[in-house]
Amino acid sequence: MKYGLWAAKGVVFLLLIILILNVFSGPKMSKEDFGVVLSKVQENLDLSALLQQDNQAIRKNLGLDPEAYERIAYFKIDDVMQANEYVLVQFKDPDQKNAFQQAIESRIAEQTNLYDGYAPDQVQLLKQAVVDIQANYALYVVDTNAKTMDEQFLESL
Amino acid sequence: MVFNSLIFIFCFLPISVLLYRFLPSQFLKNIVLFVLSLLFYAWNEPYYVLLLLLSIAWNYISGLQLMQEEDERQRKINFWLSVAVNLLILGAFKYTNFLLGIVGLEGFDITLPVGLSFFTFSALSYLADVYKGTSPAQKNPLYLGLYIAFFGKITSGPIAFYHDMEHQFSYHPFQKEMFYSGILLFVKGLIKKALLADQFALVFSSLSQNTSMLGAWLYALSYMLEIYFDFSGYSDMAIGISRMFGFDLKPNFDHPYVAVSVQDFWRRWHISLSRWFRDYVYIPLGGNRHDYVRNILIVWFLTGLWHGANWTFILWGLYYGAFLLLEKFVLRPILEKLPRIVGHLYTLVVVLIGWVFFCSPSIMDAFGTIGRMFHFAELVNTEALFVLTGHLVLFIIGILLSGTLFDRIEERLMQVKGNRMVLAFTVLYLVFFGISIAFVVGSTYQSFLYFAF
Repeated sequence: MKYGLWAAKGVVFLLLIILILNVFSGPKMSKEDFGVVLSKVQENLDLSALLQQDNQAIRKNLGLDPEAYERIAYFKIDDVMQANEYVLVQFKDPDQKNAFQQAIESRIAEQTNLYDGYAPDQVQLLKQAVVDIQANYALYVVDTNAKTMDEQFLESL
Repeated sequence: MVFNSLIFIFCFLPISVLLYRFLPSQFLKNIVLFVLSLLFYAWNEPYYVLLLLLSIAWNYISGLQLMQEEDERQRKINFWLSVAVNLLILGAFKYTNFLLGIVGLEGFDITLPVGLSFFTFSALSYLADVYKGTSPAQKNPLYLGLYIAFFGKITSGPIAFYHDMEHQFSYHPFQKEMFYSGILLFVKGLIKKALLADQFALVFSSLSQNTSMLGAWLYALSYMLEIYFDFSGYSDMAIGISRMFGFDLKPNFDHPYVAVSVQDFWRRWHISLSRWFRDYVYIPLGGNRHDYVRNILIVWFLTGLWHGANWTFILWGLYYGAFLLLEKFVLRPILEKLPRIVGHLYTLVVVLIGWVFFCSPSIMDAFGTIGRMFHFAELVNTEALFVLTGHLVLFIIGILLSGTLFDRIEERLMQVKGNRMVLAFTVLYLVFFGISIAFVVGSTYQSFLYFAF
């Protein structure tokens, strides 16, 4: 009985180690400064029509709590007829990724409903939206430059 | 899954209650509660259910070993080995990135398992109780599984002590009175969360960039009220849910903002955690019998660290340790001679500044905010004034409800008017429950703050 318990404990310990190692085998977090990543994302692109929004707009439009994140920047076009916007976020903890992804998916769905029927070009733009979530950074873009911005985002990390 | 989500309130909880109510035997009730607890835990991150099951298995076997081992030296080794693996799990997930950051290395992409600190501390309570002989080892793995994983308390506590709960698993039948008091507590908790905490969260967020002195005080005050209504609301819901299933958990809050000293505050705030550190760390270290200063600093360093892998939490913990020492050696005799209001105001200011460390992303940010709180050159600006006037009623209600006034009125009316008030309060709570649901549906989703710990 005594040795049986030790053997059972050994198996449980081994399984615990495998589980932990599996979690730790994922990608590492970027130590790049938020400002540097943001500049690289915007590099060589004319994004002057998209203006930086305040915390209240982040809450209202994206359903995100800006205080919960290490850093977050939200840019949006000042024209209700267009859906262009982008968000760069640095997570405090990687476990914020799911909530961020859900919020962005809701935002895309809401915007698609909004423009559906009268602005098919904006719906198309929303269909091509980029949501790229890395270890501790994420980018969401609705813009014709979305792919370029995403490439620059990945390079910057 | 979270308690303030529609799926939990209108689907998961009612189905769980019906199953628990109508299943014929205690054995089946416990099986179903355990399976439901795993489902609840797996809702957002299914992978970590494996971690939870392995943790239960590890502690179950460890308990049996501690019970069987007769050699005291071997028993001690078994105990510390069992504790070490629990701490290894906690440390790996919670503190690895923090430690790597200290030495300048990149961290890992690790998602922190929800409730890890809470269920690990429950497991440690079990091991310590068995080792000390306070409780016998649990032979039924289902009971230990329920103790660690019960969905009513796994995500953010309260950290129930094993010796307080060990007799409840074999017999916790449906009891009408307990069930109704559980519903009432759950509704009170939801009201605190949806109507108060989430509203203070919006105020807190809107003031984060404010540079004025008034803005900084309102920023700190809104967080102070947010975290109280958030965590005490969560605790009410957790204890309420537990009562619905026949479990009796001790209160986790006792109006902490009416405290008249820092020591008094910690007897009223997150009581289960304070008790845990007192019984399993402070007293075994020697308590106030020897090395009092060292023991206090160790306990409060660990309390800070438990809350998160950040220097701000460690500083926050040590800050309280320092005030407790200051009270013990200097302030207590002075405060005892002064009117209670002085001690009350002193405590509120200490706690308010403490929350600034707690809510700030870095120590520099914390000192920046504290600096603005005493920056007389910019007393007020338009934004701060706008927030104050726009939310004055919310602040007044929040301050009044964080004290004992409402409870005293409720108690007094029940004494004077008797059963007529039961109906009136039932209607009142139903109305506020409806409003809370409307807020849950309509407002931005806000998770509980203590989920992060």
